[in-house]
Amino acid sequence: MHNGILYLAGQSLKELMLPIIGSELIVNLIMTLICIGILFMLVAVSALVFTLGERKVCAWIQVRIGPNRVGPWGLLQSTADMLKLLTKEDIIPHGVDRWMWVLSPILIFIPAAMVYALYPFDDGVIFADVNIGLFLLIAISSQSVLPFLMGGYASNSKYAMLGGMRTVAQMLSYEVPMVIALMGIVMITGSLKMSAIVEAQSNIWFIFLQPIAFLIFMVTCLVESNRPPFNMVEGESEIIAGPFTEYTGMRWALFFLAEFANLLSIGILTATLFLGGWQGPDFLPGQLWFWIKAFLMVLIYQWIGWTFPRTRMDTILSFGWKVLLPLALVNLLLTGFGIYIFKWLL
Amino acid sequence: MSELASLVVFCLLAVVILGTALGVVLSNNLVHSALLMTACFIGVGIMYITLEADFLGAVEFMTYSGGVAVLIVMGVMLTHKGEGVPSNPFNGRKIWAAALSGTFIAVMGLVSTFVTSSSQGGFVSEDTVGDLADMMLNSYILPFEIAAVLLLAALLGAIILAKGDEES
Repeated sequence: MHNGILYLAGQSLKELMLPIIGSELIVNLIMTLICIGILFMLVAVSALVFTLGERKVCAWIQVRIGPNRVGPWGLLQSTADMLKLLTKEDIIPHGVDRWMWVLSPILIFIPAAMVYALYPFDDGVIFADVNIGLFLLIAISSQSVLPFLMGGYASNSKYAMLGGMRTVAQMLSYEVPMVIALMGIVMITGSLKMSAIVEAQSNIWFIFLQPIAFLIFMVTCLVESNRPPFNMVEGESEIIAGPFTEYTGMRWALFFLAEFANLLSIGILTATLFLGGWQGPDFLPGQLWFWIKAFLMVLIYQWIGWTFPRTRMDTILSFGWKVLLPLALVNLLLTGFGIYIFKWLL
Repeated sequence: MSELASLVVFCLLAVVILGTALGVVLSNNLVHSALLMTACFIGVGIMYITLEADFLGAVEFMTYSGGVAVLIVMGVMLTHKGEGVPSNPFNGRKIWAAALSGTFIAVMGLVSTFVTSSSQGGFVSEDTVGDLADMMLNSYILPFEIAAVLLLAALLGAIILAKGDEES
């Protein structure tokens, strides 16, 4: 039925375990645990890669050299960074709302990692191919607003508070055009299932059918994941580091783990929804096509980020409500007409 | 086996939902109350999903814990007074509230033990979203549209209120 490499590997591992363990229930449980482990590994490895990759790409775009002291081409920079963060003193500032302050970096990581369960990595390789896939994905990722606000409020600092407020304003505002832009895809596919959305692109990718939605989605993705040029939440030159101002060491690193997980996430999401996911010409396996597209999108997001200067808070919000939202609605209307004309022509 | 598992999940969720709901009422800090309410919403959403109402669960995540709760927290923070002062004004009537809600629970418990439900748990459709869409946009299109107009009116009203009087 399915012929993704990882799917076949999983099936054969299952068949290998079944005679040894006997109970199918336990085998399924073990397979589930293995899948969860792989997904977490993926998030952790992406953080390791992006710690160096982000700086190298940034340096390359801005005609600099980037980290080059630790190891050949600075390859061991991530390791050095991790050692530094692990050995740093863990400071809990005076006057913070202790429980909220401690929980915030942990909670922020949960939705960022959870969405990986809904990505179709290859034919049949998806942890939870649920009926409401895309909707659940948006619902889960909308949970990442509150931990930012928690961190900002609990830090008992004006800069952190301002950063927290900004997060809520921009993330809530841009969720609206994002959802409406994605509605076009759902209308064409006729399903919210992630595997069905990839399947529907076997003839033509959605980037060609929904070019306006693609552009809206790219902008909203950058805003939702606080990437530059829309990283108002951190805004180093104005509010120090926003909600992260009072955090040190590993707690601070957890915020960045979530941020890098989100960076890979938006790459994967764009590739899956608009670039045909794992599908591609037969000479390369689907898994490889998937990663090529995802990393290409990540590179484009980084390119945008390191090319444009940071925007202003009020311009972001008015752009979202006054330009992107009407544009998304027009796109929705056009898609509706398009579908009817297509049906009428057939 | 699966019956036992669902019972265990139900009990865990019930503890989380009731615990956070009590926290909302008993906490002295209004921000803590609002955040615990989000946790409560998430618990309820997971409960819907365990009852195979997956779409409703996702809606609960999205609108309640993703939208409403965030707005409440924002509102609370914007109107926050002084640091460290107990800011939850309704804690004075704990005994009355406990007595009232205790009576309510007792009555509901009695009702549910003596009354047998006529409709037994039935078949849950595979494609809940599709069925919902069919109902909303075919059978019940008029109420759906009326609700949409109502929401639009509320939206415009909110904008006018927020803008205040036009300065001449």
